[in-house]
Amino acid sequence: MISFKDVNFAYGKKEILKSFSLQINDGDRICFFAPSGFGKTTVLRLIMGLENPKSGELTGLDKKKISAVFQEDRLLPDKTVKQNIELFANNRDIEKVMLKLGLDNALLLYPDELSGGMARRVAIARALCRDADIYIFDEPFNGIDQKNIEKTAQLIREVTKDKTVLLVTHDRDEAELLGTTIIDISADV
Amino acid sequence: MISTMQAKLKKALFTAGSIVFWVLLWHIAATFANKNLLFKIPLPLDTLREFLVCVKLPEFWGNVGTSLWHIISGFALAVTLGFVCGLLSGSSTFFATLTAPLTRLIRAVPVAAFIILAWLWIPSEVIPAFIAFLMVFPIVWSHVETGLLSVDKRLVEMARVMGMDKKGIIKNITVPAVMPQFRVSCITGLGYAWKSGVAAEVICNPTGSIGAMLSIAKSNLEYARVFAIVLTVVLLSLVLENAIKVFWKEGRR
Repeated sequence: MISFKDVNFAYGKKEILKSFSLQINDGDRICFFAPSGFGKTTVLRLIMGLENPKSGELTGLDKKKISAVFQEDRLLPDKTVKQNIELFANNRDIEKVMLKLGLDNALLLYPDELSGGMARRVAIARALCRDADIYIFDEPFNGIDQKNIEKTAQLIREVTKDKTVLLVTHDRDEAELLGTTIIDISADV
Repeated sequence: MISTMQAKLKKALFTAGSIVFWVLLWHIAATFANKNLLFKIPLPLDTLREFLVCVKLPEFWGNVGTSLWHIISGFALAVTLGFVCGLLSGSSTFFATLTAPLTRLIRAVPVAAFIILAWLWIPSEVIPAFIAFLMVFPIVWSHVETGLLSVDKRLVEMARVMGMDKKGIIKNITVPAVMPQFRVSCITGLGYAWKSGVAAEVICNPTGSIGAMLSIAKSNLEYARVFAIVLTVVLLSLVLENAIKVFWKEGRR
């Protein structure tokens, strides 16, 4: 169980989280919902260990394996799609995942040869090919067309079944597609 | 395939054409200057003839070898130390701040001044290598530092979250960011090493080198020989430049 207890966080003087408390149980599927600037991505960054709370307690992350899709694709530019995924994959058949995402022909391409939507789906494939306890998706469907959103969401649901899923999106339909419960964190801040 | 070959052939023809154009221009200028007794310029054909004479001289290849040794040893030392210092500067603000005046000084002082300064303390045989080192060292240093500072922090974050260890991050993110800068510094640096090394040889006259040959030819007013030796310097520079480009081609995408 991940637990935020009275967590405060600020970037310089700009206060982002104030006495933020939240409990996330193993297997929970949560969508953080709030207007921009209310700290949705900050909550994810704290869980990923990329930021530390200024004060308060954040527990339950020891020995948890995390797999993430960031707001940007963050693909290694000098590696092919296949290499980008292989470097982080630990138990899944990459080619099968790519086939399900309709990207089986893109394995040998480099990130700069991909369209925006394709690069996004590769970032999702990379996250799904890694077996983890917590899956984090920060605006995962940005730039993906509707047909592919449905196909990708279906695969995300299959792979992350019984795992903790944390999603950030501005689109309530996307939250529903991934079967997540919406939490409005602007109400807590 | 055919279009690639055609493009290559076209490029080769253009290159050959531009060389012919400049040699013709040289021939016309030399003929005009010599006829009007403005100043003496050897004709291209005379230079080529003298070059073939030089190539057959028993000491010529020994001199070429000595000069190459001067330049390559200075270059190799500069690349090694520059790489290490670049890594240190890129990863430590303290080291970067501490050494900034030194690199600025090396860049600001003209090469001829360094040659004269070095002559005060260093044997003339060592000066060309030392000068080649001094010219290349800050170039490699600053490029490696820039490469290290250009590492995309967001990629490092992603890799850390996705369980990649430090060794993996260095191999897959840091090295690919540094290598293009390092490659450019080596290719640029070799040209500087060659030019500055030969300049040091001309000024300090270390025995049995291309620069010393050039200096002697100039003292004896052997115009054609001066041009022939300059031609040798240019050809050797091209050979070295292409050799390093071929070396770096390995592993490139």
